[in-house]
Amino acid sequence: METAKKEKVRVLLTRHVFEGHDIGLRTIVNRCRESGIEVIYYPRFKDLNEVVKVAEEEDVGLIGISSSTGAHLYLSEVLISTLKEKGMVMPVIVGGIIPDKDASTLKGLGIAGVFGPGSTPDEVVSFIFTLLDRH
Amino acid sequence: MSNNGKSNVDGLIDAYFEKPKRTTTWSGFPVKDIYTPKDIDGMDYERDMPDAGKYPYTRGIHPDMFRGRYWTKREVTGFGTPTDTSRRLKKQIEEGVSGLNVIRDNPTNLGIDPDHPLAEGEVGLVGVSLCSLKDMEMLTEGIPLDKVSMSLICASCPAIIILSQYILIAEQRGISPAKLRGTIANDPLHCRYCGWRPSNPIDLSLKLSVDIIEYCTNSMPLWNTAVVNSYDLRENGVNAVQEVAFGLAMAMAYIDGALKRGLNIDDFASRRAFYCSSHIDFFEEIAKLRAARRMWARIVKEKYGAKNPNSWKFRFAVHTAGCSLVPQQPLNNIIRIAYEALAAVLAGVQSLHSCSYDEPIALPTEESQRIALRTQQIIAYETGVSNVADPLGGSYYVENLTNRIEEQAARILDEIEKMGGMVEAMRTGWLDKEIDKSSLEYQKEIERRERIIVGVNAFASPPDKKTPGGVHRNPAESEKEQINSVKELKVKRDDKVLRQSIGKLREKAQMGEGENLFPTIMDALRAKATLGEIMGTIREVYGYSYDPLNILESPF
Repeated sequence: METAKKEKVRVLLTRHVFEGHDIGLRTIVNRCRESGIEVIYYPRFKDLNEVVKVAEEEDVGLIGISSSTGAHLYLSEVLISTLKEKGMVMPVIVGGIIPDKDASTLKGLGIAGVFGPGSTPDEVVSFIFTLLDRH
Repeated sequence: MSNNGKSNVDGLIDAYFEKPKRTTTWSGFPVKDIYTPKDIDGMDYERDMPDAGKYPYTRGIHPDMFRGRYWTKREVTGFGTPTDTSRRLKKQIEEGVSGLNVIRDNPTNLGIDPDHPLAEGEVGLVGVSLCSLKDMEMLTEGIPLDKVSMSLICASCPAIIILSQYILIAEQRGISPAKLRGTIANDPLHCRYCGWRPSNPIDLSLKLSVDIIEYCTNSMPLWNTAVVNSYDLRENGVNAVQEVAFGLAMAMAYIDGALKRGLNIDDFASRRAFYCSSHIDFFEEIAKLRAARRMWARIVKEKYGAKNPNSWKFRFAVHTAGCSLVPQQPLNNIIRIAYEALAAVLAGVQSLHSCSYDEPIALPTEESQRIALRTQQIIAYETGVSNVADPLGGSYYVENLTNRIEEQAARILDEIEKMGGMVEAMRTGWLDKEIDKSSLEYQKEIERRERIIVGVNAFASPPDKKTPGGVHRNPAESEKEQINSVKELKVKRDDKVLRQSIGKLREKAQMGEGENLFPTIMDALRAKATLGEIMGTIREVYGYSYDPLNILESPF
C-alpha cells in the first residue's frame, strides 16, 4: 500500500547575537539534520522581529531558541508576544542554561518545550517529531 | 556499571569484577598499563627536562615555583552595574582572593553602548557593563590600583578602550601606568571561535591588538599585554593536543603582527601570557601544560631568535573546564573542579580560576564562587602539593605523555604553517572544520558510552539538577540604572569638547595602520566619549559601518 509522501518537518533554530555559546545549538542542528529534519540555522538574530520574519519567510513549523546568558525569560516573553501581534501560531522551544525552576514559568508563557542542561539531542528530535506530527 | 536494570546482586558482582573500559586519554592517546625507563628513552635531562627555571622550562618557569609565591587565585566576576560588580570584588577580597578578574557583558564585548536599541535584556547580564570612564571609576572605587593585580577580560574589539579607561582612572588617582599590574585579554583571533559575533573584521582587530602591545611595551612593564585564549577553543570541543597547537599558532600570528610593526621580539614577548584549560583527564592535562611550556620556549628562542630568557617563558593562567561540568547531581562538580585545579597547580600554573559547581545550570551565586575559591585554598594550604616544583617530573608516564603531546602538536603546527599561518587557517574555514569534527565526536562518544560521565550516562540516579544554593539573579533595577546612567552622561557632557575629540580620533585613525590610537582614545574618553562612539568612529574610518549591528548612524 502506498502512503502519501509525508511533508518534511522544517524548523528554525537560532540564537541571539549576544549569545556566546553555540556548541549545544550546533549539536542539535546537526542531530536534527541527521534525523531528517530540515533545519534553517540562523545563528545570530538581532531582535525577535527578525526571528519571526525569517520563520514566516521560510515557512517553518517550529522555532527553537538557545540561550545560555540568562536571557531566556526575556527572549521568550518578547518572542511569544511578537508572534501574537502578528497573529501567528507557531510552537516555540527553548534550550540552554535554564534553571529547572524557570521551566514552568516558560511553559506558562506559552513555550512548548524546554530543554535545559542535561537534555539530550535525541530528546529534542523526538519532541519535534511528536509535536509537528500532531499539528 | 551497576544501574543498568540488573538485579542488585548481579550489579554488585559486576561492580566487583569491573575494570576500566576506556584505556585512552581524553585526546585519544592509547595508554599502557605501566611505564618504564624505556618509555623515556633518548630523553636528556639537561636538554629536555632540566630543573625548573631553566630553558626550555618543561618543569616550570621559576626555580622555586610556589615556594617563591603562590599562584594568583582569582575568580571571574562581573554582573549588573559597575557598582554591583565592585561590591562583589570587595567581598572576594575579604574572602582571600589574591587577584581580581573582571568580565564584561556582551554589549560591551561587541563595542556598543547600553542604550543601544538592541542591548536591552543583555546589559550587565553575563558580565559588567563598561561603557564610559565613569563606569571604570565606579568599578574600581576603593581598590588600590597600584597594589592589586587586575585581569580585564574583554576578548574582542573593546580591549583597547577598556584598558584606556583603566589607565586613565589610575592616572586620576595619581598612579602611573608603570605601576599597574595585571592582564588585558587582548585576543581578537580566538574570539571568532567562542561564539560571539566578531564585531570587528580581522584586519582592524589585529591593528588594535598590536596598538595595545606597542603601548604597553613602552609604558607598562608590569602589564601583560596580550593573552592567547586557548581555553575557549577547548571549550568548543577540541582536544588537548589541538588546544596546544591552535593556541601556539595564534600566539605566533600576534608575534608576526608586532614584528611587522617594527617591535623587537625581546621588547614584548616576555609580557605575553596564555589562558589554558584544565580538563578532567588528570595526567594528560599536566602533560599538556608541560609540553606547551617546552614548545613555546623553543619557538620563541629558535624561530624568533629572542635572547632574553623572560621572553622564552610560557606563562599561563588556567580556567578549569566549564564544559566538563554537568547539571545532573551538580554538587559532584565541586569534585571535578578540585581535580582540575589540582592538575593546574601540579603543572605549575601562574594564575587560576576554578569554576563554580552551578555553572551548567545558572550564573554562579556568591556561595558557589566562595566554594570555588575555597577549593584553591585547600589545595594551597592543606594538601602540601605546592611545596615542590614539578612534583611529577621524572614520572615515566608523565614525561612520555608530555613527549607524545609535543610531537602531535608540532605536527599540527607544521600543517598550519604550510597553510600560511593561523590567520589563513581561519580565513579558509579549516579551523572551524577541525573544531566541529572534534566536538561532534566527543558528543557521540558520550552517547555510545565510550566515555563515562558520572550522573550523565552512568550512576544517573538521582537525576536531579537542583542547586542547593539557588541560582544567581541580577538585581532587578541594575539594567535600567545602567542604561539611564549612559543616557544621562550623553545629555550632560560638553558637546563641543566631545566633537573635537572625536574629530581628532578620526584624523589619527586615517593616518593608517601604523598609527597607535591609544593617546587619542584616551583623550576621547576624557571628553566623555563612550565605548560605542569611539569604536564606531574607528570602524567608519576603516570602511565598516559605525554600528556593528547596523542600526545606529554616527551622531558625529
